[in-house]
Amino acid sequence: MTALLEVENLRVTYAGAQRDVAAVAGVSFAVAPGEVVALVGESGSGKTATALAIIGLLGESARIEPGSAIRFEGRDLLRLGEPEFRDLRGRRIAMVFQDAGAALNPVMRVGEQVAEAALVHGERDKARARAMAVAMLDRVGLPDAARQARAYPHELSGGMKQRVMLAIALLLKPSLVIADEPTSALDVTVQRQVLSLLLELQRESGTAVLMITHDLGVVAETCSRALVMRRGELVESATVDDLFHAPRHAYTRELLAAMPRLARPVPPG
Amino acid sequence: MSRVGRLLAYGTVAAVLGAALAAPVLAPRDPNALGDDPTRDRRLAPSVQHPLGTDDLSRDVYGRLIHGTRVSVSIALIAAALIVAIAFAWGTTAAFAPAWLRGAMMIFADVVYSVPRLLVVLSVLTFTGQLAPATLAVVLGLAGWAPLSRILYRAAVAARRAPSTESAMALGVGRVRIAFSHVLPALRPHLVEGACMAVAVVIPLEAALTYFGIGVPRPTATWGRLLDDAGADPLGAWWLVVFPSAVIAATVMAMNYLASDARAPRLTAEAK
Amino acid sequence: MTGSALVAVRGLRVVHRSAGLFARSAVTAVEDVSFEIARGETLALVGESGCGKTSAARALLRLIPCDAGSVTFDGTDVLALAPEPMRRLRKRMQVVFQDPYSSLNPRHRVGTIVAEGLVVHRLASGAAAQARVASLLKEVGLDPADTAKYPHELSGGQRQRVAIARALAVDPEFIVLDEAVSALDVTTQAQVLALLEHLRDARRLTCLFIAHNLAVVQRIATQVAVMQRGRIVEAGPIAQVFDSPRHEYTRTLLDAVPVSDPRDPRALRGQQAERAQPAVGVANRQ
Repeated sequence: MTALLEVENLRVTYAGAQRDVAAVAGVSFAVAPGEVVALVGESGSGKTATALAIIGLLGESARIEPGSAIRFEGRDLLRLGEPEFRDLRGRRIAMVFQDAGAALNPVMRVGEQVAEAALVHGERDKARARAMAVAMLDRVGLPDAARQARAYPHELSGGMKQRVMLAIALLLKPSLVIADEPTSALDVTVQRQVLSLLLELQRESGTAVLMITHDLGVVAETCSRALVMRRGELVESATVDDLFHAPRHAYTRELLAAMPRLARPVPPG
Repeated sequence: MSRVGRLLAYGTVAAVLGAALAAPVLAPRDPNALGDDPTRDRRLAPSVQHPLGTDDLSRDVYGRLIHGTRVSVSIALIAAALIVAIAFAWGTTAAFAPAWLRGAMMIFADVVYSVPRLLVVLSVLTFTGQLAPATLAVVLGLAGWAPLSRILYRAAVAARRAPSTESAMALGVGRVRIAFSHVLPALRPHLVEGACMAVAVVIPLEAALTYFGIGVPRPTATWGRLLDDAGADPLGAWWLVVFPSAVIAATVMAMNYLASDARAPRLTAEAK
Repeated sequence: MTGSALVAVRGLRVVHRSAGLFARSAVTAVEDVSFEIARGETLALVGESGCGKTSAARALLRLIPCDAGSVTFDGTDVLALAPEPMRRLRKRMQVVFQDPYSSLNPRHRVGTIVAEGLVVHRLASGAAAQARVASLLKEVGLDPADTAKYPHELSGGQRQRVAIARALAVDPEFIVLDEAVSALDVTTQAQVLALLEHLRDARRLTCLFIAHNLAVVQRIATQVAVMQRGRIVEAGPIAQVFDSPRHEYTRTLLDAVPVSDPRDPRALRGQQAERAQPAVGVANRQ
């Protein structure tokens, strides 16, 4: 059993005005190929800092402490030079952000942004990259993809923008997608469509997903395993079934108790 | 910026203001007085007797620089005060005015903005013949308020529409209290920044206008006049150029720093 | 029901106009919306973003102008009131907004924020106002010593408690909660929701609860109105609407709420063949 991603004793510190703040305080976990794992926590839990550390996008005010290790496909990401890391990003590890509106380039047509992912990773033929982009936009459910590929982000709804983000992230069939609250900015009906699409694409390409979320509903819907973080520490790691039915840590129980639940009439059948 | 930079900026401003206020004490001699022997005392290099040297007409550069500071700083302060006062009145009135008037007022501000300041100064000059320092200050003030009025207008409109203001309105807070308690305090950093920027803009402007002979007339010492007095061949007498230029540059840089510093505390308070 | 309604809205229409120098646009945000809230009831106005629920509430409170319709509060025609009587009426109807970060003035201390209603309605001043602020802070679960703090020194949940204390300071009968818990973390949200429930019952408040989260609504509301594209498509007692929705959109909305149990057959991941993946992770123990 080989893990796709192994995070070992990860510690991330942010340089504050007065003193340094430990955002991630020694976190270890692994993600297997093709697995959908939730990284659950509230604001300030360190879940986003963990994700950014994995994809190498922590800002300048943050530093990864010595002793931390992040191994991905057998390589230690923390020892990787920036050019090698850039080659990995987008091709082997992709990221989906919460705010697609901010993550997409506002002055570039969405089709070009999808094609760009192919072009920066070795595709020479522009026409072929563009065709790939249109096919992918069609796959993520952008209606009339050939025409909509020429749209700018602001011409699309929030749900459509997030679909474009998924198209960019999954175009090159990476082995890991980090999805940081991919649907928390969306309405429930759109959220369900986008999550369903993410799962479909993930299964098609055998991609593993690290789903960063505060929403246990999203976890119950999509993930097979969950890691619960609180104040920079991993407090529980369990299958989602165990997490909901046999939570071990008090904080997990608190989260479950606080989760708004819709009592529904039992569906027929 | 570092603590050293901050100390330098505030120190410069304090020194310049101090020189302007205490000019008669710091340099008791008439700044326009010639040397004892005007021919012999021309273009003397800095010495104990003339710490910054003398100019073409044998006048003491130190004394002229100190008194010039008084005039240049007064012009800058009067102009900046006018700029801030007019911009504040115009911007906030527009922000609280009905929609049609608001648009008209901002278009007028844009028109004022689009008239080159040099043109304004030149046209006033054709009426008055020469510009007394006070007149120049008023002209620069009247010509320079438009950009700041737009900034203050935007800030006031934003503060009026801020959710915290809406909350106050929902609470039953009246218009007057909304204006004084919720909108105006939000303008304070912009006012301080605007005032500093106004000084930083007017000082080189006065210097340039006077240098080209359309600002403050001879022989009144100002920073621009000192540069002009350096004459056509300043290379032989470096002190005539270096000292006034350094003072102008240091003051402008210090004011720019103060301007950005005006925003800084607000940023740290809201950063969290 | 008409006789006992504290708040009655009839045929409300709100059009958002933006007039630039070269272009004008008008979007109808609320169209022919009518509802009533009886004393002591909590009506939830639900719908997705852009459905007009927030515009309807703001028009009801006369924070934005409306283009047609009427609003009656305890028999008074709200939309016809002159500015001064309207200002006085605001004492009786209060609001808590969604964003606890922007709804508090960053330049005012907590004490000033909570006391503002007391001051403008001349309910208390000086030491009496201070005592009142302290007791309000205690009532919403804050430390009375927090009066000297600025909003940025508080957490999101604490800020929202300040906003609640500010609204309660004038002792209102009716309170609009506009997505008041939506921006909070789950555990904080549960705490603030419990606080709101407690305060509503203790103070016999009538509430208009605006939300997009149906699970939250189900917990706190007695009545519900579902909005879509500016109109109310279905309304009624919460149990009736949620258990047997009649409108297609209500059903869509309810079906889209994430499951709260991974074993639920409706869970997305269960709908396709589950691929068995051994768990590799180990919780960190230090």
